[in-house]
Amino acid sequence: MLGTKRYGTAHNGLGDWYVQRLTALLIAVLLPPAYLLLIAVYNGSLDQMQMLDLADGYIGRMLHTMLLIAVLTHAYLGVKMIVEDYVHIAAVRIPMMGAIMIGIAGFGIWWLSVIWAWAN
Amino acid sequence: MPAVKRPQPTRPLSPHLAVYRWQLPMFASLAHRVSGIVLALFVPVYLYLLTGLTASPEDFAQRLDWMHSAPGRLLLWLTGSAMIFHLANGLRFILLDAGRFESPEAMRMTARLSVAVGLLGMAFLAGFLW
Repeated sequence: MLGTKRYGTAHNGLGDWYVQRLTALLIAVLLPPAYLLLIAVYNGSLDQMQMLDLADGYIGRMLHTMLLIAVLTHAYLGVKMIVEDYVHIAAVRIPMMGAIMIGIAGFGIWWLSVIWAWAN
Repeated sequence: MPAVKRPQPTRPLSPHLAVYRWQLPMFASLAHRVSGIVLALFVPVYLYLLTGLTASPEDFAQRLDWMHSAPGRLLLWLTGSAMIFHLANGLRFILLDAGRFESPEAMRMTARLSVAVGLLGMAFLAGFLW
C-alpha cells in the first residue's frame, strides 16, 4: 500500500487551513443574503424582474462571482479532507481528487457563464 | 496518514465509532461533515435553479413550480437546515481555532448551542416551507 511507509508532509497544510477559514468567513457574509433572495423568490415576494434588478447589476454579479469562488474553493478543500481521511490508497485517492477538482472547476465555469451571461 | 502500528487486542483504533461512547461534540463534528457533503451536493441543484430563474419567464415559472413541489421543498429544507447548522458549527470551530472554548465543559456547551441552532433552523424552515 503506497504512501503509508513514507513519512513527511505535503507542505500545503497551513495554506489549506488558512484558505478554508478565509472562504468560510466570506461565505458566512455572502451566502445568507443570497439564500434570502432565493426565499423571497420562492414565496412570491420577488418576481423575475425584481430578482434580476437586484442580482443582475455589476455589484450583484461581482458578489455572486465572489460567492461562487469562495463556495467552490471551500467545498473542494472540505471534500479533500474527507477523502484524505477515508481513502488510504494513494493510487485511488489522487486520481479521485483530480476528477473532483476537474468536476468542481467545470461547475464553476458553467456558473460563471450564467452569471455573466455568456450562455443562455 | 502515518503508518498505524498494530494495536494491542484490547486497545481500539481511532476513530472507532462502534466503540466510543457517543458524546454531543462528536455528533456535532460528524454533523458538520455530513452537512458539508449535503451542501456540496446542492451545487448542481443550485445551478439548475439559477439557469432557469435567469432565463425566460416560462423557465422562471417552471423553476418556481419545481421549488414548490414536494421534492423541491424537501431539498430546500434539507439544504437550508444543513446550511444553518454548518454555519453555526463552523463559527464554533473558528472560535476553537482561536483557542476559545477549549475546555471539555465549554466544548459540550458550545456543541449544545450549535445543535440547538441547527434544530431550531430545521423547525423554522419546516414551518416556513410547509
